[in-house]
Amino acid sequence: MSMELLAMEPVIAEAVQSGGGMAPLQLLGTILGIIGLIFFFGSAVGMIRFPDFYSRMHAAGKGDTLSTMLMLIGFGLVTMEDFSVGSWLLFVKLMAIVLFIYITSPTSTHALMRAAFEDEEMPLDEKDLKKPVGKKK
Amino acid sequence: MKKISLIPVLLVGALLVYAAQDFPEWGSPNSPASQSPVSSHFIANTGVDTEVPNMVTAVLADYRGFDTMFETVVVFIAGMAVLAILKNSSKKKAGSKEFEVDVEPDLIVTNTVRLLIPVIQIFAFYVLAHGHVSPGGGFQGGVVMGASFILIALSWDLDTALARFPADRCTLVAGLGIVLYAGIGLLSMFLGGEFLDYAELAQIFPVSREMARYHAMLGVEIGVGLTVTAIMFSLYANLSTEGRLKGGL
Amino acid sequence: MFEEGAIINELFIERLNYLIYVVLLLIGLHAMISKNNLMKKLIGMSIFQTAIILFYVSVGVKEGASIPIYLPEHDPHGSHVSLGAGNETEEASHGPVVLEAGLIKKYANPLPHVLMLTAIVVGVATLGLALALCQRIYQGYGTIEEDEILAKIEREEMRAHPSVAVKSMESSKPATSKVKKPATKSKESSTLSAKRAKSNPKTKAKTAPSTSQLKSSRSKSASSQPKTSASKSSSAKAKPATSKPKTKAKPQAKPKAKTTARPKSASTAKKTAPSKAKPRTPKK
Repeated sequence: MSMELLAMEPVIAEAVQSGGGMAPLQLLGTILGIIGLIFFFGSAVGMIRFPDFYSRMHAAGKGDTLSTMLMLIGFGLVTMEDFSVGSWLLFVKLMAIVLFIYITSPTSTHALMRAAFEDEEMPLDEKDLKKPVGKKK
Repeated sequence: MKKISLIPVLLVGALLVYAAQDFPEWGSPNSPASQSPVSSHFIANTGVDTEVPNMVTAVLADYRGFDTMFETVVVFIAGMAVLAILKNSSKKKAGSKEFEVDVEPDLIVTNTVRLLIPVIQIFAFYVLAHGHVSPGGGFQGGVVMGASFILIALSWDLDTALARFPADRCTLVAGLGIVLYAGIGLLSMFLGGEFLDYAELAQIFPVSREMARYHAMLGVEIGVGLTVTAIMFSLYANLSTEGRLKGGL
Repeated sequence: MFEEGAIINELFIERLNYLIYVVLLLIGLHAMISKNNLMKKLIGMSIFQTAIILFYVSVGVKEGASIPIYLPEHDPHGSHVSLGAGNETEEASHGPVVLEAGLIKKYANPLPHVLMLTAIVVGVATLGLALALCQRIYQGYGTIEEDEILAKIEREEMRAHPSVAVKSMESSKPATSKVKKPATKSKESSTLSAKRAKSNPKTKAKTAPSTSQLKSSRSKSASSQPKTSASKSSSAKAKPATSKPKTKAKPQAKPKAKTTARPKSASTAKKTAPSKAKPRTPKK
C-alpha cells in the first residue's frame, strides 16, 4: 500500500461519514463535475465514431466546450469551502478560465471547419450513408 | 531493422528498471536529492538572502544566474542558427503562387483574437513581473508574449504580424535581452563584486543589499523575457515560410 | 513468492513514477532508432526529453510538501500578507528568517524545477533548430525519409565520381577519361544535367542544382590536390559551368540571391563530397 493511499484514507472516511451532510455547494459542484465527465466521454466517443470531418468537429467543438466549462464550474463550487477571500479569488480565476474557454473553443472549431470547407472537404451525403459502415475512415 | 532496434531498446529498459529499484521512494523527503545541502540551503536561506518568496525564481536568476544567462544565449543562438539555415535557402521565388494564401482573414476568428490579444499580452507581463511571488518568470512570460504574436500571424497572416514585430527587430530585441542580462552582471562587477553578484548594486540604488538582489532579478527576468519573445516569434516566422518571411500561414 | 510480490508492489505502486519514465524513455528511444522519417525521429526525441523531465521532477517531490514558494507565515515580506485566511496575526508581520530543518521538509525541492525549466527552454530552442534543418534537408532532397536521402546521396556521388562507380558496375571507358580530365568532364555532365533539366521540367529544380553543387565541390577537391595545372583549369572552368544550371533552375531569382547562394551551395556540398573524394586521390 502506498503512502499516498494511506494518507487518503481518513479523508475518504470523513467524507463517507459526513455523507448526506455534505455542504450543498460541494454536492452541486460534484454533480456538475460528473455531468461534465459524461459530456466529455460523449465527445471522445464522437471523435472516434462519427463518420466525416464535420460531424467529428461537431462532437469535439460542442462536447468539449460544455464539458470543460461544467467541470471548471464544479471545481469552483467544490473549493468554495468558506466564503473567504482566498476561495473567492480561486473562484474568480476559475470563472475567468471558463469565460475564455467559452470564447475561444468554439472559435477554434469554427476556424478548423472553415479551413476544411475551403479545402473542399465534402460532408457525407445520403449515398455515402448507404455504403457499408467501416469502409471509409 | 525495426526488430533489431528493439533489442537495444529493451536492453536499456531492463537496465533502467533494474536501476529504478535503488531509487528513492516516491515522495520520500529523505531522498538524496532532497537531503542534499544545496537544496536545503536554497529552501532555508532564499528568504534571508534575496527576500524573494519564490525559490525557483531566486535559484534561477540569482544563485544559478550564470547558467541562466548562457541558456538565454543558447536560445538566442538557436534563433540565429535557424535564420542562417533558412535565409535565402528556398529555391522558389518569394511571390510564387504556390505559397500564396488567398484566403482573407476570417471575421469571427479575427474579432475573437482582437478581444484576446490584449488579455494575453497583459497576462504575459503579469507572469513576468509576478514571477517573484508566484509561479512565473522571464521564460514563461516571454513564451506567452511570443505566442500572442504567433496568434496574430495565424489569424490574419504573417505580414500583419511582421508589421507589428518586424523580423530585423526580432533580432535586435533578442540581442537587447542578452545585453540587459549581461549588463546587469557587468555593472555589479564594476561596482566591486563578482559577475552577476547583484548585491553590489545596492551601492548605486537606495535599497538594501537583499532588495538589490530582488530588483536585479526582475531586470534579469525582463532581459530573458525579451529574448524569448523575439526568438519564439522569429522561429515561427522562419519555420512557417521556409525563411522567406512572405506568405506562408 | 513473497519476493515476487514485493517487486511488483515496488514497481507498480511505490515506484510507478520510475516505471512511467522508463516506458516513455523507451518509446522515445525506439522512435529515434527505428523510424525512417526525420519528423518522427524528432517526435521521439521530444518524448525522450519528456521522460527525463518527468524523472527529475518526480525525484524532487516530497510527501505532503508545498510548492517551493514561501507560505504566508514564512514570507520574507510578512507585512505584505493580508490575503491569508486566518494567518494575519502577529506572526504575519515578521522579517525574513532562516528556516529550520523541520520546516525545510514542508517545501518541495526547488532545484529539479529550476533544472527542468532550463531543460524545457533549451529543448524548445533545439527543436526549432532541428525543424529548420529538416526543412533545409527537404529543400535539398525533396524528402525527409532517411533511407531515401541516403539513396539519393549515393546516386549523386556515383554521378559525380564515376571512378567509384567503376568498382561497382558500369563501363570503364568514360570514367577513365573523366578522371584524367576533370575540366571537360564537369562541363560535359553539366550540359547533361541541363539537358535533363530541360526534358524533365518538374524535377529540374531539384536535380540540376544538386548535381552542379557536387560538381563544384568536386572541382574544389581537385584543386586541393598537388596537380596544379589541371586543377586550376578545372576550377576556372567549373565556375561558369556551375552557374549555368543554377540559372536554369531559378530563372526568376533576383541577382542578389544568386550571388549569395553560390558560395553556400559549394560549402554545403563540400560536406557530402570529401568522404568519397579522398579515396580517389591515391589513384592518380
